[in-house]
Amino acid sequence: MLHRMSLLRSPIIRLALLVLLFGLMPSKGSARRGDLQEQIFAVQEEALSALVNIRPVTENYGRGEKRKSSSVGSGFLIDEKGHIVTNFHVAGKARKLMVTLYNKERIEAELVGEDPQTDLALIRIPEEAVRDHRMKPLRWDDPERLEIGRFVLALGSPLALARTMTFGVVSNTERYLPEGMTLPSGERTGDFNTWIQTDAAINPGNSGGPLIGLDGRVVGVNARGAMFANNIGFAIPTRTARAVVTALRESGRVSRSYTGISFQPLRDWELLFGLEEARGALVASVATGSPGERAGLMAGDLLVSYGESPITVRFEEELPGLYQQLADTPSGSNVPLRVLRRGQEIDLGLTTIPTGELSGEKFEASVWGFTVEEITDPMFYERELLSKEGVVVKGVRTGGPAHRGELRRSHIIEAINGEPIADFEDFCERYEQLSTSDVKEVLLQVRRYESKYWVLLQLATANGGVER
Amino acid sequence: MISRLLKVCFLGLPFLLLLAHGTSSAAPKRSVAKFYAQAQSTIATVEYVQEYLAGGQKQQTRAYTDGVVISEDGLVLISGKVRFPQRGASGRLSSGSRPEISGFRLHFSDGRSHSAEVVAFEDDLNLGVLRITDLKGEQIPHITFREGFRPAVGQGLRSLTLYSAEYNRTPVLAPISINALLPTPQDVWSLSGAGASLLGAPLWDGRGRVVGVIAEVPMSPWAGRQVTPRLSGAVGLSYERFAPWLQEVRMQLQAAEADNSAATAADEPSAANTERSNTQGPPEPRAWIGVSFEALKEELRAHLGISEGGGVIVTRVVPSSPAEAAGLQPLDILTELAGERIAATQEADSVQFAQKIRTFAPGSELVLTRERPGGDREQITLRAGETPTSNLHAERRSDENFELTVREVTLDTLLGMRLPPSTTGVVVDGLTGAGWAGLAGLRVGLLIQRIGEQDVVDLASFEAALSSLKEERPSQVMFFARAGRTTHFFVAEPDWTELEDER
Repeated sequence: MLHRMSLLRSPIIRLALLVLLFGLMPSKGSARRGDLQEQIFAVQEEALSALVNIRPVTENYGRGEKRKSSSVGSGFLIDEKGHIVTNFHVAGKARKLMVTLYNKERIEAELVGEDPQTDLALIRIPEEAVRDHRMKPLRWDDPERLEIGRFVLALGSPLALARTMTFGVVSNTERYLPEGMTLPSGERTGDFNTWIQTDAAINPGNSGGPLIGLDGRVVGVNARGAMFANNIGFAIPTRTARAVVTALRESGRVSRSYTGISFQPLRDWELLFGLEEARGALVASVATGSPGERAGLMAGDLLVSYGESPITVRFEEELPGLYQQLADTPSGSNVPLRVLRRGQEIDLGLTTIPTGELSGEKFEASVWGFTVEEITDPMFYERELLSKEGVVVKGVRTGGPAHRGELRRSHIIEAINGEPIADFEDFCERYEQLSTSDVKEVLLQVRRYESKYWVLLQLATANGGVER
Repeated sequence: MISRLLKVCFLGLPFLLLLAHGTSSAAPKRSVAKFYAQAQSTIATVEYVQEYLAGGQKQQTRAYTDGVVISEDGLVLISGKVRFPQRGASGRLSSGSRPEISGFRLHFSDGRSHSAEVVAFEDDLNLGVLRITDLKGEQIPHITFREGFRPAVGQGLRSLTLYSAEYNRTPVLAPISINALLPTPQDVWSLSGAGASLLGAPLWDGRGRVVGVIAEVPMSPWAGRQVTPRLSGAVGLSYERFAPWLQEVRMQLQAAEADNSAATAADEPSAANTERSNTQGPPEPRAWIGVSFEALKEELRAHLGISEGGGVIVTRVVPSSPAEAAGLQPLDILTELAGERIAATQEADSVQFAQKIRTFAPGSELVLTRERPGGDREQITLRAGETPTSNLHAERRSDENFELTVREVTLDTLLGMRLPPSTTGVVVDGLTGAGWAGLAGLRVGLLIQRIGEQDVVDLASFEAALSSLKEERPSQVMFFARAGRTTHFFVAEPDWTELEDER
């Protein structure tokens, strides 16, 4: 500190600083630049009033015990009723949400709904707070106006530095990020949108904040950044976000159908499939037991029509649209499919099912030293589990009985003391019974894919006492 | 001539070397000096040529390893590592692809040089035997093995290897001690002081006899929970482990020589020799039942009410394996094999069960005792199969035009991908990033099942598919491959004019 002070006292440095600052100031002489500056000034006050800093308290079961954790994210007000949009990875599954407004006032918010598949969540502050603090909600932009090169501002709390505004352009409007992206909490995400790439600086803590145009309209929801890169940030486009937020506001959740099919673009390979023109999408995988498999679809097929609509996916940027189309089919629909399989056109029928919860309820078996998670349908299909019965081990506490018995994360508990565990509730019940009795040993039968193990929990410690 | 050179070496070096190790500033013990004098004439730097496929062309790399002469007629023991890509070598191939090896030359510290050829490799031990081809009846110094050596932790051994050519291949003596006896199926010893650079170097006892070699061995695929075979680091491998194999190699050589002399000077005997030198001796019979297992620990045994004495718990049964046919299931507890107790009570013991199974011949009947919680026992008879080929030892094929190496699909690969054991195809083992296959996006580890319209089920159909492509020369070639349940089409766009240019 002292060192810097003395530096500033040096006349030469002062002069250099002045020159530098002057150089960075917009020249009033240029009308265009002046417009830009005026526009940013005009939008900042209003936009910042909608911006909030979010401090969620979440419960984490990953280390074999229930632990509270807190983080920092951003969000923005979208209506007078107090609805605030943010990311699922910020506010999802939060037990408590504290929100700091633009005027540094803090209020508590509640979770309205969440959608891990698009990484969006909706929270709410009281209507009066919006009025009392004179917050102005942001409006969604018309998705058609999204263009490369458009000036944008990113608002948020990068590295917890609240009310930060950064400036840049839309670098790309249809960035496809490889499939299989997983949220920190384990849910798969990002299948349904291409991303807006921007060079407006986005850092950890910006998540959930708005990316706005110079007219103050929301272009996207900032969500990700590229690591070890400069100014490569990604936002969920308004086209996706608006529909999800509307569903969350109405019902607290987004209903989607599950088919279990993943695709690969056709590129310019139509001739290799005996087609005169490019049509269809290549089926890359069909999950075991999924509607796709039940329909008779096979990896390597070329799906040329879905229901009434012909399908063409030539480039990977077109994949999210197809996934969205499949997900939007109401659950329980019977959809005729036409596929091309080694030169033969085949008609199949697909019956869609609801997607279900990406992650299940969690529970801490504290005396035994581990946490478990309910097995949901998506977990069953995505992890290619052999059965939906039992519970998944979410974490094992270091040094606890389960750790000593060599229980591992993602093991599935099939039986306790020889009695099969049907589901999550069954496990919790059995645990409550056994942990309150004075049994010294519990025998778990666990499975990991095709292998099975026995895990003996020895609850009596070396000096005779029972742990915890 | 040779003996004079030996003396010269003997007088100066050991003293310096011992100084370098800081053990003593006094003159070396007489026994060490004597050992050094005798042993250095038996060790050689083995120079050989590895041929890679890179950038569409075959590229040659010169490589070196250690070898030791084990018989007066010029048999030389080396590490099997010569068959694999060199670590850190500039080879642009992805790891796992096997180069072709040739041009073996042996260089001794006294200036002798000899040519050699491959006699045999043993896959389980990762060792090889060369034969010096230009001895002309001359006998050369060789080591003697010590039988019945009992390794113990803390035991001091020595290695003697030749320093690099820049230092005129100076013999380097290094103290090595056994710091653990690893209970793997190979019974290897963990060594302090032995690095990968010493692979193939013999381990001497205090009296100048060789008790084993420094080796890098693939650990058994069926020991405990481990499914994929791994190469271990440099470990000590006892002579007892490879003696039967050496014996077999010698017998085959004798039989081959007898054949040769019978068919005296028929057509091109040298060609016949080369052919034989490339064949690898038939592997020793290794029974396999197809289970993974872990040791029955005491606490669990007591809890389940199983009789005392140890056992193994079956954790996985391979589909269509002898174990499955006999009705074995995961969580079965096995307590006896062929009437003998399986005395495994901790993880380290369970490998002995794996070892014991491997001592049976494939096809033989094995009787196992299965004990139920509570103590009910029953006998299970199963007919052993043969240990499936591991990834390491799978056969490979390369294609220069596509710059692609594939290997036969193994049970390990399929189980790893959670595919049924009957799944067919070939596995991408190596490719050049900017080659035709590499540009198409193919990756190491993928299972190729179709090329163009032709199904690829094995190496033969892979080769057939590629050779018909070379006839047709299509502008696009489609590969259909899978990684687990996910499949992928890849389209290569071969530039056939490159081939024309080469001609």
